[in-house]
Amino acid sequence: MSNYFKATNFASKDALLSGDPNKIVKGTEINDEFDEIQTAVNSKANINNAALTGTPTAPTAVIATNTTQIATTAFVENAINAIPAAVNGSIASQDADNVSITGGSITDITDLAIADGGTGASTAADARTNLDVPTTTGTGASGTWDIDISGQAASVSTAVVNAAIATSSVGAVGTFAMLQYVTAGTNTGSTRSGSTLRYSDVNSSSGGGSPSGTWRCMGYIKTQNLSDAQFGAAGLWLRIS
Amino acid sequence: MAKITSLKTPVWVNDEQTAIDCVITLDVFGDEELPFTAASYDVEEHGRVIFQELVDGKYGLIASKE
Repeated sequence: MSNYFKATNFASKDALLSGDPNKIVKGTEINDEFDEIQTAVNSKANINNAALTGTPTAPTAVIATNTTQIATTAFVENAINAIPAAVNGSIASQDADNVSITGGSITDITDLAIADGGTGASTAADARTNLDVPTTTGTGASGTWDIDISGQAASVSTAVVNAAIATSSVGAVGTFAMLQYVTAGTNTGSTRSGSTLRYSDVNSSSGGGSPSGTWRCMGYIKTQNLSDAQFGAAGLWLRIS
Repeated sequence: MAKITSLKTPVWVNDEQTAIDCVITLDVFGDEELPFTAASYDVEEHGRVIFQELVDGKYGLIASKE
């Protein structure tokens, strides 16, 4: 961009005496002037469809200006900072990998698809349907799920159950044990605390200590009488709790 | 996992105080009262948890061994 500066002072020629060669306006002087004018004009932006280059500037409009006035970068920043956070929320940081929105609420958005990590729905009921989630009876921690697992029982195979039994520890819930009821005999199906039982062999010789929990008699325990003592025979017991 | 619906009459089993006898009811057994030995050495985690809860006083005082 350049400005036009007059190269020849034509007015000064009027004061020169006749016959002075400088009093004559030369064609080259006129050409030089027009060349200077053309160069300056060519470097200026047009009013219509101006294509500005470099770093053009303009006066910064006051906040809330809503006209055809040019909005400078300062005006834009002032306008964003003027948004009331309590009403519209604020954007603390935002880029392609990190969007943080605080306050307010997001409305009128398209339901996020399941493939994108959403539910594909805008209501809880529709979300349950889309995600195949069964409905509950009651709410919160006291609610119960009405789940029909028919047809899915095969997923818990006998092999899985057998493996769980096989890896059970001695004395675990669901396991059997040869135990002696130390007090007396007892009937089938009766329950006793672990402290009243002793790990035993078939001859009622105990020595393995007492189990924990609750045990149910799965056989029949006959009272054994010695000369000065009474106790129960060994039998098969199932831990139930 | 069965849930305890009541627990009463805790009594120490031994002088070493490593086990406690009590009577419990479980949701899966309805009102049937079950004699239960809670022990610090139980192979079942819930047994050890109940023992610790008893020691911590959750179910009241533990009677001495007779």
